[in-house]
Amino acid sequence: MSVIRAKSLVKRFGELTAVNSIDFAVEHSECFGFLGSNGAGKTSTMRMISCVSPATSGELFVDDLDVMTSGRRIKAALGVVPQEDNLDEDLTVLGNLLVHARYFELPKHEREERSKEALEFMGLASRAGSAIDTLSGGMKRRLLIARALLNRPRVLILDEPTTGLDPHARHLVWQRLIQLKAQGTTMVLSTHYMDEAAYLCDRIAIMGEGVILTMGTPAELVKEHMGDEVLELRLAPWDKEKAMAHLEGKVDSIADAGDALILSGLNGWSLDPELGLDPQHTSVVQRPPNLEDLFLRLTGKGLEDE
Amino acid sequence: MIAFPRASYRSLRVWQRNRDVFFGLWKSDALPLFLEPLVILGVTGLGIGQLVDDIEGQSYLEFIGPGLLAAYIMFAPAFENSWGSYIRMAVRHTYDAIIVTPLNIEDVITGEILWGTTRAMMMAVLILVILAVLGLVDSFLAILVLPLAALFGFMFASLSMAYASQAPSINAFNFFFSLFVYPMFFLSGIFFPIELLPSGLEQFAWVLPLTNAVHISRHLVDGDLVLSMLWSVLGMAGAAVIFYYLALVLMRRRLIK
Repeated sequence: MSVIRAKSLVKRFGELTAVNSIDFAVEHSECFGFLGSNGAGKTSTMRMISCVSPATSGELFVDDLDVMTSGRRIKAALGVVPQEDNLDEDLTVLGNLLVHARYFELPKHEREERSKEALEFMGLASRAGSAIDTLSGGMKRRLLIARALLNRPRVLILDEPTTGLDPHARHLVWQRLIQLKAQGTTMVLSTHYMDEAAYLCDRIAIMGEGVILTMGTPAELVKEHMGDEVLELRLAPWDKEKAMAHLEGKVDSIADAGDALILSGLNGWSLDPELGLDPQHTSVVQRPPNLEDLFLRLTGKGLEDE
Repeated sequence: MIAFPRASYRSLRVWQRNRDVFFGLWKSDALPLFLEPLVILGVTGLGIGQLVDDIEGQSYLEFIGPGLLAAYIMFAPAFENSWGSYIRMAVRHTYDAIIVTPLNIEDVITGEILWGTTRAMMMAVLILVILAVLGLVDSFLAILVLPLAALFGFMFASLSMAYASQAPSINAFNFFFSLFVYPMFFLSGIFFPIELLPSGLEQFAWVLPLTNAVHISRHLVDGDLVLSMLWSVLGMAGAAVIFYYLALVLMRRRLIK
């Protein structure tokens, strides 16, 4: 039984269509990731799931409840970690949790118990009495996650959970999320970090311009779209046009990574020395494909030859 | 017109949040809270009062006491639900954090307005005690200033909230205070009877909410009930319903997209 189901889901802001008829389902205990550039429709989708932004049309069910009519009941079972810090600066670290827990109508002893538990779990117990503005970015993010756990949510919604964090803080957050996943928490997260998606997500949906471009497990998707091997051709900017013209029709796809071209479906093609690419700036590496290659190919500016 | 948007008992949770924050900061907030009305009463009553003859048989301090009482009932929500609410809404995104819980935006706005109302009532108690200590209260009817503070406080909290919903930036509150709140403070019959105003302006003054609050407060503290107080109460109640409705609808329009 799917925990979240969306069918022909649409979100418009006036003229702008942020989400353009998407279908997806999130299963119990899985971690489902929305990948996409800024403006791809990830946040709009997550906000509709969180019942804070009404869908323009289509269907969206969380736990078999309709987001349009059962917002309160759905929200009671969700934990939401926002992209921007919205911690309550008028309250201490512990105060933030105690007050937030009261929004879920938890009795006093429960509020205190769960708040302490959440601080402990997120490694913030020693900062219980601190003011919010004394916390580092990573601590704030961990506190936001602690806050989202107070109602023991059936689904945890994380909007870009590690954006803006340093590598150490990122790994701390990942560690906790992996732990929550192991405990069976269903998670929906959005990210534009490919390593994050590959590490945390069981399944991903790559979004671009409001639609889901492809959906599946990261490994399957990479294999299906990119094959077993890609060729990374690094070259000088002034050689790019010449190389593209030459490659046209010879390989299955060309993804433009800016400073390099990622070629897949080589069909025996190899770099022709006669082409005359600037040797000082040209290098060729053959390697297994990764999620980033796939992402570039799917969201690139129409450079595919299909 | 759509149905009146509904808030639930959950708005109490937002009220509690504001109460907890207020009493957490109590020590730094309490002193100015006491001092400002005392200073105003002292300066105007004792200073200007010496230049002024009795007004309608009262000393100047006696005359302005109930008027200032009404003004301070207004100032509490005027600050709480304009700057205060705006900062929580637009700067700190506190509302965004609350509406992902079972509370809806209507609960949040209602909780904010109820807290502004509570601040108004706290202020009414404080000033009433000061006036009583100074011997400026003539009647036990003065206790009815508390329901007045509830109604006028709720009305002004709603009005401030409706204004905040339209504020493009925090600077917009400079206009709110310099073009609305402060001129009203001086035009509402606190410092002189509005009958002294030129006739067009006198009529205009009666449209202002504070004028009506001053009118009611003065008659309650003096213990002399008149029918025109009823019209003031009814007008205030009508304005309270309208501004509460506007605050709910406009805030939803601003925040839920």
